[in-house]
Amino acid sequence: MSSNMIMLKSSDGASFEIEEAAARKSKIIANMIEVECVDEDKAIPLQNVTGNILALVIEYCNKHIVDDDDDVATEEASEEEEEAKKKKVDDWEAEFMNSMSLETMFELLLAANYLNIKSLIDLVCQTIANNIKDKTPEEVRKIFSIENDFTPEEEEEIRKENAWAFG
Amino acid sequence: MAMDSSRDSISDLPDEILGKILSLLPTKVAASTSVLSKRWKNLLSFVDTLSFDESVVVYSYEEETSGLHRFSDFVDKALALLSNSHIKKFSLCHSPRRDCEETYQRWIWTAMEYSLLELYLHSDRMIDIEIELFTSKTLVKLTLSDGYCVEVKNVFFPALKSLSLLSVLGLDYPNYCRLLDGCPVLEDLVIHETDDWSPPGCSAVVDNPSIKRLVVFVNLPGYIEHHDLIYVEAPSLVYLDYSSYVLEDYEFVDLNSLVEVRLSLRLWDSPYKYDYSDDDYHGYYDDDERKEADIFGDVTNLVVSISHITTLHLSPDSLEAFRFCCKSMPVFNNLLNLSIESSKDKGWQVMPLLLKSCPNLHTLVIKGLVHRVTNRCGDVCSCIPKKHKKKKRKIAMNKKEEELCCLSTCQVKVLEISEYGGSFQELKQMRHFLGKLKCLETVKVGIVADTNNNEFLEANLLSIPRLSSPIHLTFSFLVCFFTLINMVNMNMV
Repeated sequence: MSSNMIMLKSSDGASFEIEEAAARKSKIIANMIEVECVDEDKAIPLQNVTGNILALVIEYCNKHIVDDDDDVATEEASEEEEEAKKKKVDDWEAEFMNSMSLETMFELLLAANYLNIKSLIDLVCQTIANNIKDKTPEEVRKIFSIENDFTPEEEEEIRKENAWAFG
Repeated sequence: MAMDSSRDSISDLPDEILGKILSLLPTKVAASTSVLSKRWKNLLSFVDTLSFDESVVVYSYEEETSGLHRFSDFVDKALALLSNSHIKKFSLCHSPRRDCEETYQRWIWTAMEYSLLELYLHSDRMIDIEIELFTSKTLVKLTLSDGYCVEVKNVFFPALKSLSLLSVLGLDYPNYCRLLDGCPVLEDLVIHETDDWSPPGCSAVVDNPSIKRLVVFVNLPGYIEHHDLIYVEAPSLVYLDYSSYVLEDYEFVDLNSLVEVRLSLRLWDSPYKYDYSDDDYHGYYDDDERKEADIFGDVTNLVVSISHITTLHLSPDSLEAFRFCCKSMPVFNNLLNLSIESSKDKGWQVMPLLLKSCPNLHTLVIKGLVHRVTNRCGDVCSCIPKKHKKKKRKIAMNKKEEELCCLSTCQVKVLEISEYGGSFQELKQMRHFLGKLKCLETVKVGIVADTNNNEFLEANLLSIPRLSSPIHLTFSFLVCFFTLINMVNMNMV
């Protein structure tokens, strides 16, 4: 497989080399490649993404481009093998998300949103949603350090308005 | 992951992203975040998915009326709040009350107006929703479940690709037909009938020009008298997944596009009842032919109508249905992939005939290598007949056939065994396969995950003498898979 490499440059000036196929996971970059004919010697500047976050984005894209290739190579993979493969990706994703702090997670989400990488947005949103599910509002506030700026009366009013939600 | 964030940076995320996160939660949970802080107060309006499940709140007896009110109120408010002009999914699971049909109708209407893509309606009580004009230009997926019985006069879903009718109580034939006819580009149709309150209904007739995938799952053991006929006419159908007790007859018309079929056909009685060939006291053929005639169901027409497919999956029960309820086996000329599930309670008597009827078979997949030992498994397996002496007569009679093992003529190149447990019987079966299948090039064995002696099993398998040798063996572990590959098949050269 011929793999074109392209350069990405983070907001803090770090350069990263990435396979074109992996970079195309980002719709924004894919569009740039289509429209502007990215100059091979020139790095694509990504103003809103810092180097450490871009490294995570690239790690994610690389991981998922390899998996896509595998699918093509073994068309006749049995159901069990497919399942095993899917489990491997799921495990990797769980581990990937587990390895970062909440702060990093939010930055990664913003970067994925800016670069328009749908599967990564979904992954991070799901991870955050899992942190909210099955928790009381007090627990959610604690996890995300959200300061309650309601007066007790205001809070009571909201609870009354949506009584079923707090049932 | 560090569980606690040191500062409130989640609240800095833009509304749309927070809306996306809340969309992944049940709407009840999403709404309860409004109390977190002022930032979160009105975020519910940014969700693109509404999912209401009334069953998560259990009302006490005294509270029932007020509880239902609170739920209604909540759904009304959530629908009124939406700022998105289109929502992806509206899902409603509830215990509807008889006098509130208009409210439910209004919810469905309101949701549809938001360019809805997916609608899921489930009720645990029977409810009739009359809808004059059931339509949406955008809806792609519609699911009606249990008590959600719609009475529709006119249906038009020009974009609907997927329709699921999950044990919809009381959905009568005219309404079912109007639903189907109103979906000109329907591709996926799922019909489940598992509610013992009513006999099979919708699953009896499927007549649709556009569907590509059909899943029918019927489990109604109390209605043997209603299992007389299924009629399927679907010229675009590519994939059929059919599970039911065996019917008296099958009429499958115009299935020319069909490629892949998955069957789970269950016998009404255990074949122990009428398969006397395994009984020590009744060894006579006349006897068991007579008994077999009593079996309810006949899959002959079903099997004939799918004989042009390339991929067939059979459940353990289906093997017995093929054996006991199929008068003649057609030749599956195009069949390349056959996968069977095996179980220690079900026999393999049909396997020799089935393999002989698949002259171009390329891949044979077997999940679980154990089956019920019977005297008439034939030569696909290596099990020892219980009454060897009595069988001798038959062997003498069919000596020619016996000599020509059906595996020797089998063209199978790839053999995949999953859930290999490594018992003596299974090892013997593997030896039998590797010794008899002449065209075999690749063998993949998936070992049951909890066996901790994988290496031992692997060594055992590798020591099996193969018909085709010398061979080059490679192992590749994929979770619990390993593959034996015969690179050169000298015997065939």
